[in-house]
Amino acid sequence: MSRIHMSRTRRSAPSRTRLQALIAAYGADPARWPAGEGATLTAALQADPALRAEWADAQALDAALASLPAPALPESLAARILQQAPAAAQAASALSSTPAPAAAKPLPSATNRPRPRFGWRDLWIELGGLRLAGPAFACALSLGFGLSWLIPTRSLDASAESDLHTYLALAWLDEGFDEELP
Amino acid sequence: MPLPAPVQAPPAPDPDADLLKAASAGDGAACAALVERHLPRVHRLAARLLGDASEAQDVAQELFLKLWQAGSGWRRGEAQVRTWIHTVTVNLCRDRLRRLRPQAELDESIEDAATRPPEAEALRGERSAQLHQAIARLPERQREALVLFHLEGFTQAEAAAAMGVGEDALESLLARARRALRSDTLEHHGGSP
Repeated sequence: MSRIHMSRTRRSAPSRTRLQALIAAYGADPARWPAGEGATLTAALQADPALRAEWADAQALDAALASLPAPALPESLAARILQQAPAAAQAASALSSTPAPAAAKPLPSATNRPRPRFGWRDLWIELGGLRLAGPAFACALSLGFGLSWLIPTRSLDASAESDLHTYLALAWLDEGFDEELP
Repeated sequence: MPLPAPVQAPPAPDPDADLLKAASAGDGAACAALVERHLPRVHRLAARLLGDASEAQDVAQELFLKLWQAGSGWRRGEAQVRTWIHTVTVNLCRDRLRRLRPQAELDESIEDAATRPPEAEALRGERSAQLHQAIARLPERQREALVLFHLEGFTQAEAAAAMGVGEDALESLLARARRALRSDTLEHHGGSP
């Protein structure tokens, strides 16, 4: 606070000149004057018609300024500003009073887009799921049986060949699992 | 007996500082809260200082960009976020006015009010439009003082801080601005504003 201002606030009764200066700068409402300087205004106005005229002029200007319409806030401005915010997508959805228009709704950026998680389920789906599980299981089973017969004897008898055909046929039973596909 | 040391009041807590920290860490709700809290006044202030709705929107966007950038390095207690916002808004408006208007219009002389454009005549019937015109014709710093204190309702301390001047300088600017408006409106329709 400057020295001049301190001396003003300490003064108990502002001079007529000071009252004129206060009215000229801050207007007619002593509530908007610097603290403690409007206390004697009412008495001064009653005693001084010239000061009262200056005060009335100031009051008229105050009223004219108060009647000026405020510039309207464009509806989309908040949404546009939030598109530039550090967390654009979150910010736009958190804006409660002025929802962003659909056209201005920000797309999630590359940095805050949810990252896809890749797990066993994804691998299962990626490999064909139940549709290929049946044939794969049947092939593995028949291969195992085949090898167990082939390796020791290097030939197949009739019953083993029949079993092999049975197991191979099982490989085509996958259609029944279609309804369980994800 | 030694005199007790004067007890200094702790600085008032800044409700926006925590929001700003959270916003710069990526908290969308904090960003939205800051925008909801400050955008209306920032926009009004810019629109009144610049007299141009589109430029005012640009200033508001630029202000919040600067705010997000400032947030990560914001140190609590150094400045109030609200004061920073108003000061930067005023400075952004000054920069734009200097780019948009001829330098001659930035002269501080009250006599500038006498050189008014002819279109003011067409607005004779509308008092508020005339008052708008009269405010637009004020020298830059007088207009800033008038808009901050009388139109936006800032206190003396807030207006002086936003303009980067002392409170005595603010008082002088306000008195000159009001005198110029009074003289301007009297000249136009010969009566009270």
